[in-house]
Amino acid sequence: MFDVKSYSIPKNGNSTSENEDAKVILPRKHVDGSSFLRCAVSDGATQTSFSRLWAKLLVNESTQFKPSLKRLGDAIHNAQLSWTNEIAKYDLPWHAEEKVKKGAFATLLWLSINKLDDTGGTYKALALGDSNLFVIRKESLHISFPIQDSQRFGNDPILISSIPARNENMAERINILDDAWFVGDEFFLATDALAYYLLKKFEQNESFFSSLKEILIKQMVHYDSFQSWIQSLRENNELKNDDTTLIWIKTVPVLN
Amino acid sequence: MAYQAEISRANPTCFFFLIDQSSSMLDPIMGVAGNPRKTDFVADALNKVIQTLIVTASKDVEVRRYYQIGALGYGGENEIIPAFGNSFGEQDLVWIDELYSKPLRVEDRARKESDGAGGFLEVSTKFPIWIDPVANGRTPMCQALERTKEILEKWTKDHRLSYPPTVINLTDGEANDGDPRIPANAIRELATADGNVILITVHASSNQFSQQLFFPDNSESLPDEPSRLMFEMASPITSSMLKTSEEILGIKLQPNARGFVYNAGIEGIVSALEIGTRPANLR
Repeated sequence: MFDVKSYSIPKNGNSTSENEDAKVILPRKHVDGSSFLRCAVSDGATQTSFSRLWAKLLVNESTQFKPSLKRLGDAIHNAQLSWTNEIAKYDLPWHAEEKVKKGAFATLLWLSINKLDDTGGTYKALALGDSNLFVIRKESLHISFPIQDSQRFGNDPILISSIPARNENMAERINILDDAWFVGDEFFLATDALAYYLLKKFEQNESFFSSLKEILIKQMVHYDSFQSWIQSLRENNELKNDDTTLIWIKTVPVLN
Repeated sequence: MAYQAEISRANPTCFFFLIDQSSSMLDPIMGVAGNPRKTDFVADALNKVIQTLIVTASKDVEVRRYYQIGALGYGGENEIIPAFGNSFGEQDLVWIDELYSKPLRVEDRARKESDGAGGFLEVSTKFPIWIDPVANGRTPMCQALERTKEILEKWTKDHRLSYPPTVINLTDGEANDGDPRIPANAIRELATADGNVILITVHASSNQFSQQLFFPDNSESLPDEPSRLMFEMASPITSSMLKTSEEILGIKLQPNARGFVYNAGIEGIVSALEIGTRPANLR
């Protein structure tokens, strides 16, 4: 029912262990037979320390449940406790202690897809920041969430902090989407560099999806091919040099 | 557009400090008895700036090589002296992680912290020292600017894609070895592909009754020839510096404001250093 592929590539100049994007897809196995799928991506802020850990904790904690405001509060709270506990294990030099006091920051895009019958079901997404969801229906962009206009990327996105006091103004900037899906719909979750590229292309060309699909069928076969596609976009200055993550979910008919 | 380059390990930037070490720097700041001496205050402010730069370059447990730092003192009998002492031998520029590893010494200082009940506690804190106060002799500012130009000429050639260097000249007076506009212009003409080198002059006040002028956009309100000369030496400030200025000072500067603070008091020096060194494009 759900055919899922996903990759994450660090920015040029950084190693894989320095990639501060995180992603989780559940269930991890037997996706075809599942009646639900939950996934999340998070983009840790480079300027802050331990943001790779923070992004990872946010996606792990959130995908335990379906997105909701209540569960978001729980997920952030649990991630904050784990972040603090993990960092307490280090004997930090003074510069790192000072930096940790400022907290780590990251975006969160959290999606749950539920199958009601063989024709489709419902999905719910929650977003904080500029990681973006694209829903494709009948080969066209159906929904771009939470950012609908590519000019809005880079405009000081809201980020979730590992320090509770720094999340005071977060509530009013949470975006929630509830919608129905139908077999054949496709979902893309992307962090900001690729999300900006995709949205701009969709804006320029209504039939962009068919050419994108052709590329993805070839380039999302394995990590190396995805990496070389991303690299070529970076070299052509079409894609910002930033950590880049994509989850691609196809909803496919059940074969009897 | 200039000044957009991302500061990273692949494309680091450079901060260069020029410190007036002439004998007038022994006077109290703003000429007020009881205030710290200008030389002590400037050294302390720069040590704090270096600490801040180390924290901004801190990532998890390491310090990343986002910046190279240079510091020259000028004073004595026309002497140009590395302001980091002898810690780094003949090195003109020092990586930020090397500075972190090798302060001259670490002092214990008292700092006030909130006790959480409306009062303050005095806590002991470690304060690394890289720059010591020095003050004697003359003001060979032109020589210092010429040396800076030589160092940054090489740097800008070696780092074509980098955010250009920022030079901050801290002084309380006039050059006595020529017209500093000439070497200052030569510094400002140096460039990477991302823009020209930025030269900021911070003039420390010797008189509490003199008007402080923060990043003026013209020289009309300046009182005399030496102050107009310092204005002419300074670069236009960048759009990110304008933004930081608004944030720190709460005032909107003119778009063509120059990197010049005249008659800066204690707050003025600290703010100018913060505006000049806050790395805007760190990723």
